[in-house]
Amino acid sequence: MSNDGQRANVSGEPADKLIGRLLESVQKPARYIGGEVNACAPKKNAEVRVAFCFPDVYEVGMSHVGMRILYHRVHELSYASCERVFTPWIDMADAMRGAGISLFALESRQPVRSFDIVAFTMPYEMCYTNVLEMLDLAGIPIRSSDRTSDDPIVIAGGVCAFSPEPMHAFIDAFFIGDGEDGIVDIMEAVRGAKSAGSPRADIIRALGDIPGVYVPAYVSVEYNSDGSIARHMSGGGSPARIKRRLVADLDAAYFPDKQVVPYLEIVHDRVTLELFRGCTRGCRFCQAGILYRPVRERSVRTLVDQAARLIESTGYEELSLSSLSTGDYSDLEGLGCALRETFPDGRVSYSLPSLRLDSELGDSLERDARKNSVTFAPEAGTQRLRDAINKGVTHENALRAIRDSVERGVGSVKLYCMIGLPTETAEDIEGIARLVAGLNDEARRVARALGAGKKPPKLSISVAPFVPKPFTPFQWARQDSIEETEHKIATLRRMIPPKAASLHWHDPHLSRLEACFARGDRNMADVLERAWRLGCRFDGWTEQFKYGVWMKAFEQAGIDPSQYANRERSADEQLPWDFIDIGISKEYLLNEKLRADIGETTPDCRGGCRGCGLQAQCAVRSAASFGAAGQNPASI
Amino acid sequence: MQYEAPLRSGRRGRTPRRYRGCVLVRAIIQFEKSEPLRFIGHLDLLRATQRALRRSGLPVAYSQGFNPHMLVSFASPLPVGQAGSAELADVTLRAECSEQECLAALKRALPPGLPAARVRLVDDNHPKLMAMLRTASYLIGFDSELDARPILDAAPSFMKRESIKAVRVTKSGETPCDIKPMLHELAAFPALNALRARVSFTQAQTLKPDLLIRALMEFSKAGVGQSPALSETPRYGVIRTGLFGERFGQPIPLIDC
Ligand code: SF4
Repeated sequence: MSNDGQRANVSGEPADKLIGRLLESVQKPARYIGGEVNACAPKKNAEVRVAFCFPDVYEVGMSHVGMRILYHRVHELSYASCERVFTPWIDMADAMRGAGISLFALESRQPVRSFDIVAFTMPYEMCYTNVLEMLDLAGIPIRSSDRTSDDPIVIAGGVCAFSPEPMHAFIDAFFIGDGEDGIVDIMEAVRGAKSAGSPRADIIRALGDIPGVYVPAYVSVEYNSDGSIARHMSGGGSPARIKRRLVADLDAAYFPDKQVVPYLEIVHDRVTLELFRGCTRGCRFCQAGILYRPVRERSVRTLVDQAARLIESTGYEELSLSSLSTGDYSDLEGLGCALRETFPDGRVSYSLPSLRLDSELGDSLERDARKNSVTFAPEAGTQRLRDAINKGVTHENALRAIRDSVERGVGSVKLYCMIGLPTETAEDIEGIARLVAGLNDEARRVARALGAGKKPPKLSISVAPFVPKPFTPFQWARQDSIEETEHKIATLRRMIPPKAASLHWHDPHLSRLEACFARGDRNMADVLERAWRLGCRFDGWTEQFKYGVWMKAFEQAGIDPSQYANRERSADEQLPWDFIDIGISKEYLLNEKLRADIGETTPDCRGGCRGCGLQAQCAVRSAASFGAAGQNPASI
Repeated sequence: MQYEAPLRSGRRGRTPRRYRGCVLVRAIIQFEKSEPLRFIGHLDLLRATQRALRRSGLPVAYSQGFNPHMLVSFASPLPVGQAGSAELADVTLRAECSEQECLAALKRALPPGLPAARVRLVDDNHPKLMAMLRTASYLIGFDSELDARPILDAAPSFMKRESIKAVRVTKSGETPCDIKPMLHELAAFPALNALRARVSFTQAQTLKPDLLIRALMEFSKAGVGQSPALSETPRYGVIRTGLFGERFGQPIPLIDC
């Protein structure tokens, strides 16, 4: 972990001046300057220096709530210093390479390579090439096995760490689960080992003893004769089992009382509160809903307190109440009252990003939000398929939502649906078109009945190809081939006239890669490295995504993507993420999959525990006063 | 906070506007836009200022209407990449604080790269800063002495000329023009490898520093007959050091107009 400055660059000018010059020629130079209100002042002599990296541009990374929390969490440790790093956009990255400037942290402009820990958060699979890009720009060997005692320790967390194998070759240690306490354990361990003079390899090995940490170098994979995975083995010769970390009490959990205020307009440019983690609904395609179980709520008191401090310290005027399903917060009414009391002059506005179709708007804050567009996600076109995916939304819910929108004068309504869901038939695709037509009719009818200048809102519908995700009941399912998806999109284009709704769709090629990496094994690391070497980066940005190049990378690596995306897994197959223990039993997931196959719904577990495996930690379960709790009413 | 609004420059005879029963007053704020904030755009600056004002707790007035916003404006936007050492913002307040209190609150709330230096309170009827703006001064610092020398040497004779022909390049094409009437002061500081220039800055007539430097280079080349030492594109940084109005033909800092 050397502390040298920037590499000697071509012109021999001081790095700071050179960076200033580069910024004069790139788009959005404000991405690279730091210096925002509430940014942490770097501590030069900190015992452990962390470069917190987000593998996308500044505007995206700064909107990420997890990064906001952990950045302050680490920096507030007396012995630590934390700085931020985002992926330089293509123009900047190329200019940096040209000028011999290595990746630097925003706060101190010190090279990332000089830090003790380089920590990534990985929120979506399509950021993987950017992780490699950042390591390379930093002058850190991209493969763990090539790093030496001079290199920082590279760790990674975030949603993607729950299925870490595609990145196993590049990350020294993964952290799986809620980071608020785990990151401190990692910091303590590195601090202790560093002061004891332990070599880098020993520090990394020691990290493996921290609950929630997975060190791939010390876990080996045994294969069956047909090449399928037999098991993950720990160094000690026992089967590896990595238990994810869980913060049980969010009221007691760390939360910063400040938030960095960017100069650039970022994606979510507002104060964000997290009402609760987890979701009791049990939609069968939804990974976050399972990964963040059990539901843990923050109290109204904590939330209002956090809101007051953040609004005060940032000068923001907008407050976002976020969670997987905001309408499910147990005391939305009380929260609304308390917030209105705290900010009485009406200058703070609210957004509730994930209100469900079936949630009572009631006296919610939404009415203050001056919203001109509303988003609904029925996810599927027929009741049969909505039942199969356990999206407990009915046609009547959708009709009521559209009526409500007309009454409130909402200008546009966006619908989200998925195509290629397990058990889907042609009828379900047609059902999407019929749903749109039905909503249009209802909107026009209500507008006419109301008169008084009420206009039906403009409808738009986005369809996304289904991506099977680990730890969901659909983790075994196949994804449609690109041809199948394109055929379904063509059907929808034919059936939904542009005047009824504007139709948008996700690129099926991108969804296919998401499917490959979401359920990838160690072999995918090779594909990833090849794709990056062939020039792939910012794959999540439509105009940067190069499917042809990706296919070339698969070919070079001798891997068939359809084996990952389009193959149905059998129930007894050992899955690449099975050694990660999130607390949810595989039997529960399998049972949910079987229920999907026969179109059986599973009610929200606030009405009774479904025995997902988290009974010991679950507050929802103990709150539910049902005798059936603890048994398994979901079994068939 | 005490009400003590020195309505120094109000035009007589008009009743000041009111907001929620308060007399409105305007604070003219002089601040610096220094490294690295020279890289933020004008809208970014506006947002940052509004957020700072909200954090400051100052009694800022909002516009009326469906979507009320703070009454904040700037004398003149800076191009991205250019620094300014005496920029001016104009904020409408419900008159409730002194210049000192106002400055102290702003110093606390503004980001480190945008330090406030001075506040002057004026009557709400005070003319718009933009309308009074006549000239701007710049400090143009060259990276290398080699680049600076011939240009600085040429400055005195350049300034003595009756007219200076230059070509202004815009989106719509190239227009020849005479920049001499727009050049009011030009001084060389060899010790700093820098030039100071004060140039016209009105809607009708604006001389950009880049055009001035290009004209100076042409001129110095013609003078020495293609000096081999002179590089084609000298590197320099520009800082806008002041904005001026005019009284009796004399430049007056805009904040004092
Ligand atoms: S333990 Fe029971 S109540 Fe809790 S999340 Fe799992 S199924 Fe739902």
